[in-house]
Amino acid sequence: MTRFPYVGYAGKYLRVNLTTGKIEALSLPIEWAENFLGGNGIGTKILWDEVPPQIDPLGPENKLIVATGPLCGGLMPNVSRVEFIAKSPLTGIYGDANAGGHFGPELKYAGYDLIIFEGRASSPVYLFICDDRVELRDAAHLWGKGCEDAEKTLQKENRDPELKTALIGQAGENLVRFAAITVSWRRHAARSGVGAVMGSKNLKAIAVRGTRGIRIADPEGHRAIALRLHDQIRKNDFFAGVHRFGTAGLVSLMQPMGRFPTKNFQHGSFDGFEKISGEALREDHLVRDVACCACPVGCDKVYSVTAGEFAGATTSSLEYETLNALGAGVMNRNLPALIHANILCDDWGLDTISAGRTISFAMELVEKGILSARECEGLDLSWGNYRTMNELLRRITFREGRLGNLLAEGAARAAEILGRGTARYAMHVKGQEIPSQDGRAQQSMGLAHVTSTRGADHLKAFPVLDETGYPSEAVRRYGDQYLPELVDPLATRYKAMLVKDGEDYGAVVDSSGNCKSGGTFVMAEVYWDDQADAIRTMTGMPMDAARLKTIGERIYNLQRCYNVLHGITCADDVLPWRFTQIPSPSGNAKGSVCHLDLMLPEYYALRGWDGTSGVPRDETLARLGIGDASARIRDAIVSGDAARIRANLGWAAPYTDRAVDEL
Amino acid sequence: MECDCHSERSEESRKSLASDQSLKKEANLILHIHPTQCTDCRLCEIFCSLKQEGYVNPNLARIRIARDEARKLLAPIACPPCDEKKCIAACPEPGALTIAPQTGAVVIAESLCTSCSKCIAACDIGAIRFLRQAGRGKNGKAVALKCNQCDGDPACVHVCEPKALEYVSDHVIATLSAATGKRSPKRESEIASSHEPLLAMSRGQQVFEQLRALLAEIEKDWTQRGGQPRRRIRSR
Repeated sequence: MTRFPYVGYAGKYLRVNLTTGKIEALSLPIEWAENFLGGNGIGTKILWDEVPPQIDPLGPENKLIVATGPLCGGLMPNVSRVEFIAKSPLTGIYGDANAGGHFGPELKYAGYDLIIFEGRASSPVYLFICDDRVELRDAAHLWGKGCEDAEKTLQKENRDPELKTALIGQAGENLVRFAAITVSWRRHAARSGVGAVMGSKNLKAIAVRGTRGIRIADPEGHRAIALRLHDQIRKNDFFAGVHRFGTAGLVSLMQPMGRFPTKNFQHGSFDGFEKISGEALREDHLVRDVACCACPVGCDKVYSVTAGEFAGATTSSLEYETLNALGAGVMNRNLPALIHANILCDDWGLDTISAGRTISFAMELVEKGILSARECEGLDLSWGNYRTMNELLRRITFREGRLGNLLAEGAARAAEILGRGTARYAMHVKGQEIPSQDGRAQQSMGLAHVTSTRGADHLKAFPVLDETGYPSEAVRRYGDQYLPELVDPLATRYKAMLVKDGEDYGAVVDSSGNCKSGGTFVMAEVYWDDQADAIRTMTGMPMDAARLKTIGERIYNLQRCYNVLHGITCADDVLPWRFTQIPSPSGNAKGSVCHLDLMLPEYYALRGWDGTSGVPRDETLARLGIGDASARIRDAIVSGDAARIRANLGWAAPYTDRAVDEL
Repeated sequence: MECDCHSERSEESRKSLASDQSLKKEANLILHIHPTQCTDCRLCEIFCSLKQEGYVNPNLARIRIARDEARKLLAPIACPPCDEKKCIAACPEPGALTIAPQTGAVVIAESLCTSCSKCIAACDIGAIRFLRQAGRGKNGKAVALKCNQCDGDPACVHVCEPKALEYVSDHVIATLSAATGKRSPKRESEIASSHEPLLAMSRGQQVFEQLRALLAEIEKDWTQRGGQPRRRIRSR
């Protein structure tokens, strides 16, 4: 095999067969790097090539790909991300999740760009990596431990407090469909249920220590670009706010817009929001600011509770999404209880978004009288009952009782199992619970949720330009020709373009190793040209904005193609009725609904996808150099395989009719 | 929104440094570390290793961040340098560890370093690290690494956004200390107490905690089996 020619990459990857225990260190294929860049892109390529759509996501045939990008661990701002890619047990389709922290860079310092896990170990194991030393070790003593305890144990027994880990808690072990993977130090790759994939493989942890470091193709050039971007980010208008409050600062910004989902999306604002705002958090609970690797922003914080029922609780990475999902989403105004819930989710390894949404789904079923008292198994599921919330988190994690076991399947599957009209209260797209944005208050976000390849998600497209109005950046990126609609959250015009561009750029960012919250989307100082320059100087690979755009589009289209193999069509590109049928009740968005009907056709046209089926056209795929995907998706559709797989995904498309009782 | 990451003290020291250029000539510049400002982003380690070694490898950085498990306590550890300079006193090789005339930094001449580790043992704040690497040091096996202040332009200070690291005149610090009634954190013992318990952690609890616990166990085991307890087990 030819030697991998580019620096910046580690140039090697690991293929670990858990069934046989065989570990191979292989040279990174050049075409993976050149066509798919790294991280998310290479993971998508491997999934497309190696994981057939008909397999069970929790079976041994699924693969878990742990991947970093070429910029990860280098000099650029916020290059700490590590991607986890697998066929998702929550949605059954393409799934990925990424996290910051210090694990990704350490993996590269050890000399590996990515790890592919195959098969299933017969008993719990963990993978130990220290440069050339790669071993599968017994993890029986770690099984059943929470993330924090397991991490400490690993550091202790390997006598290395600098050991970085990626591990699952009890939720992953118990195959909760929205289980997360926790990476050092306490950051979480939580969406798509990647933790359950790890649990299904009997893989408790990956422990990495690297001492090799990373070379840079043009150290002086790369250093100059990185320092300039560091400086630009520090001078950005949003820097002080993001540094001070992290994403939690968004609570107070979203509330007046009516974009702060409350009570399972029944309302767009929360009358107790100031009690769970970023300001309250900082005022009452901040211990210190902390940061992921190479991040000048430091949006992560350590919080603690010093008095009351939850005294002694210490947590970090308490984000806007969590404050909403475990706060406003369930009408919980008790911040210490929320901090405690965040600790539970972190330690057991649960996605706070899906967990919170699933609990609010159950609470609404009780409100609507669908779930009987007997079915609540002794719990008082009234809105805002934080003790119930914390108890439900435990029952979900350990799949305890009928209710816990049901909710551990996620809202969409639970609705499918329950029947009785519960589907209308499951707020999901493609099986994944909708995060804390409301498409009625920000049209582009509604579109982003439905076009995301991993089910409802704000981060694939992350349309920030119209979130709070960002005209200066919009002008910098597009000129003033699209103003004012482009930055107006309630306008639908140009939003298809915004979402498509965001998805392509997001795919590149996720494949390079940067973070979307510091410099690429939020505080958008790093855009196509800078990213291309950074990759070129880091790796020595010829790169410009045009090539990078093609790579982004290629990755996103291949993810869509993978979903098409699962029978996903435009019939699944829909939002629940609440967003499209019921006018927003509050804030700036009052009276507005999400006009998917106006944006989607434009989006399909821009993408080069068929307008009636949502399937990528042959010429689009050919233009992107993945023309061979056409035949495969055509075969899957014509043979009926795709439809059969779709019928067995375990969830129904969201309920879209106007519900009679809400008229 | 205004940011509280710039402490009053650091703002003041910068101003006084700028206003009194005459100080600069005779004063040594030292790395002034504010552990409470550190966010553990490791940019200092990354840029330090690039400058010192030509590639990114935080393991070879001359500055490193010590942390406790919950990251409530963080401390960047690097040589300021201190007044005592026990490392130089401990070094048996003439010329291997010297004071650079331009900067006042304590620097290691790699070609003379025999990697005996005596300086590492002597430094109370753990600012010198040991590197085992072929081709390094006098005997081509290993070397001690420490901060040389990048010959007067420390890479770490430029990238430390939360201003946990500053490169300031020791005179400025002395003046400030007199004004605020606090003593200058210049002497090693005072640095240690001002960073308490962070610096203690950097050497004892955090970095060597696991190893020490193990050594204690071995020692206990040894005693139980009737052997003589070892007088002292080197932990580094």
